[in-house]
Amino acid sequence: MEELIQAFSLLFTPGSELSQIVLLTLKMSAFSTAISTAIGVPLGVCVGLYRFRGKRLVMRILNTLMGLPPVLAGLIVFFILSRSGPLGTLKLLYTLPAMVTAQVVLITPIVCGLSATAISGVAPLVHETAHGMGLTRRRELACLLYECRSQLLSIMFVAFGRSIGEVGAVMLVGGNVQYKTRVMTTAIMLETNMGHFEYAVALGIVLLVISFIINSIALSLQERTSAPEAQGAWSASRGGKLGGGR
Amino acid sequence: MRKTPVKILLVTVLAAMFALFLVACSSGSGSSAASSEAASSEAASSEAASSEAASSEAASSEAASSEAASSEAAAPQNAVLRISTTTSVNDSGLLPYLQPFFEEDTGYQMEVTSAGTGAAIEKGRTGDADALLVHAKASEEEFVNEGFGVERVPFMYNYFVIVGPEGDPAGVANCATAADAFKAIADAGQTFVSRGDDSGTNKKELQIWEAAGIDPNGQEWYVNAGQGMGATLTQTAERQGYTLSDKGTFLSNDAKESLKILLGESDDMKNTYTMIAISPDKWPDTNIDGANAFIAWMTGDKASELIAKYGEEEYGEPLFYLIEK
Amino acid sequence: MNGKFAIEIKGLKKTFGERTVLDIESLVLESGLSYALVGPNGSGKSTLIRLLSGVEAATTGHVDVLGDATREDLAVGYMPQKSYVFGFSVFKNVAMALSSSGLGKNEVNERVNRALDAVGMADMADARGSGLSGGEAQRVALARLLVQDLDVVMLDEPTASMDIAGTMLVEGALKSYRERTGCLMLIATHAPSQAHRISDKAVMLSDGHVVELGDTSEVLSTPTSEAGREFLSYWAV
Repeated sequence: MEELIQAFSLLFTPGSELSQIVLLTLKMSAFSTAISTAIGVPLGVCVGLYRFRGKRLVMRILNTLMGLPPVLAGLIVFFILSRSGPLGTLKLLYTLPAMVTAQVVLITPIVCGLSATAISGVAPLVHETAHGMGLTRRRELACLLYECRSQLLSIMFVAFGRSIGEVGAVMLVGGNVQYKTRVMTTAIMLETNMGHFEYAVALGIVLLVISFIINSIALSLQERTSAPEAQGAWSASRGGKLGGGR
Repeated sequence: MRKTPVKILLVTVLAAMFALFLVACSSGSGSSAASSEAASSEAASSEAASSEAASSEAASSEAASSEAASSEAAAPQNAVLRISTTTSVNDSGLLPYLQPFFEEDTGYQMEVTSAGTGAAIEKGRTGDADALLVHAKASEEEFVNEGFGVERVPFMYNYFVIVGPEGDPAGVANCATAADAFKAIADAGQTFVSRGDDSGTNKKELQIWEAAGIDPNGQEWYVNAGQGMGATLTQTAERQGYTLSDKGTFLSNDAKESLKILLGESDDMKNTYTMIAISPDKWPDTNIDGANAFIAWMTGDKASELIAKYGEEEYGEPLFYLIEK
Repeated sequence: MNGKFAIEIKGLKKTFGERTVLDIESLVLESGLSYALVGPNGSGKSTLIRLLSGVEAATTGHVDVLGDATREDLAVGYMPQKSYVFGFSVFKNVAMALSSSGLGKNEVNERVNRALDAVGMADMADARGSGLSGGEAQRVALARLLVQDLDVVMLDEPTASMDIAGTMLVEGALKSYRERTGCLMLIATHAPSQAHRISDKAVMLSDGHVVELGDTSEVLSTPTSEAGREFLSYWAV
């Protein structure tokens, strides 16, 4: 309990190492999510929408990559950014961009696969409808994205959750350097290795609370975009005829 | 009306987290006793299995040489021996090398877990180990004084080494002591990668900084990696910086291709390994017989011979030296 | 589009693997007429409409446009059996159908309101599309067609999820639309009674083949084929 109080009081102390770690973690996860969404969603839409030769193979590869072990993603990026690797001269290893890169490698297939599935679920219906109405392809795509908006939003938060809780890849390419690349998960690993088990659990709880808050925000955002107004439509349709209802 | 369920959910989740935390905190006292109990019952069942196997084997080879049967030690009461050691010992491959000899001679089964020294010792405190094999004198003494360990049995040593880039821009190779070398690195502002994980090596490193009269924390050139020896060496090689390592891990790491030993075998870099049996006073379920058998075997002639030879073939020099009795 | 035209179907075939779901040797549909497409479930009604609308491609065969028009001149609208309404408002759903028409905002508003009125959905213009019932969704889908100026209108079971009142309203809307525009209308229906009310001619399909073609009243009273008699016998009771 002491450790938990200590952890939370440190969290709200500006300039403390823990608050710096939390900020870095959020920054990393935000970048990873934004970039993998920017790449993954359009790719996923293409895969989900178009029929092409080898689509089944692409889906199979995507599904495999969705289970890509984080350490492997980290290793690949490590070899690329290493001194002896092809991009070694950029000196990016053990920096935030390196961690974001590894996470993008890890998360993009997940975003891509999930959006492909979400899109392909409604795409045939939307296509048939749009075709019957004589909509242009562009307008059809806009309608399709609109129909999938809440699923796409939750995919983004799946990506964020994966990013914030991931340890293997960021440990490898970030190096867990104090003040530079130490994030919540690698800090937890370090405290565990140092035998500070209780403080490690306290840090884990801090991480969970942060995730919880972010997910709550996401959920309320999602509710605002779909549910309440749908309910409005419901009461309008029934209320008009039954004379009030509830 | 919409907000109430969210609030209830929030409170529920917080309560669940709180409960989780309480469970985690109490692991220091109640729950780990239960877990060690479970471990011992597990040990008992595996012992039963192994004795059964031994007897059936004996029956089948009855007519065969009786010599083989006699060399096989009688299975002890509690055959599973949990050893908690540091990554440096485990990474050097010493224990896996000794394990089959020990198991054949004593009939115990070794279960080795490795972590940084801090965590390795902590496992002794929480009753999750029967014996420790570590190298951090101050923490060991504290551990024994608290009554968790029976006594410290120092039995072998080697030297820490300062490794760095081939070019040696800080001129460490010309220094007489580790403290001088650290000063040279600091003066030159060369990158130094610290393990920063409270391990035996990390503690030694901090002692040397203190001896050199330098506080490296917060310096631009001082990289606190917070990782094990292997990962720290990798990072040092990538950054072409300096670090303090135990010799065994360095020699078995790929980092030796782009780093070299610049300073070793100075008196202030001696690294003594100690065994500690966990006291049954604190943890009655602990396998004290096994721990004592381990310590006796490790300090015996056979193990001494094996340890003295270890590493010679691969690296041209032994990785560990025995403390003269 | 003014003038007379006809749609000529020649050797149109659709197969899924071994199974042939549609096989029409020859069929001509003339402008200004309303056709009822009747036949039992699985006879190929939906497939024919889907092929004509172009949402699905035929395995072999082709569809030509004869008379004063070419294929490109014709504005074709199609309402699938399962009506999908977008999540935004009902009004926007209907207005979306005019998105490429180049009409001014006032004109669009006026047309949308008229179309919604015609299908009895005027009071739900602001409702969200995602909360509609099956019958409501069908009416919105219908409004999305009727708001446009179409030369060919194809509807697949347009009143399947509606009660009697809704069905009558929709049938009335379809009739007045046809009178106003003189379009070619093709309506798939499984109910002969509906075919009587809304069509001039009837095409009966059975196992993917055209088995009857003629004036609706004749086809439905004196079918010439065995399949036609069988289909109608169920309704005679």
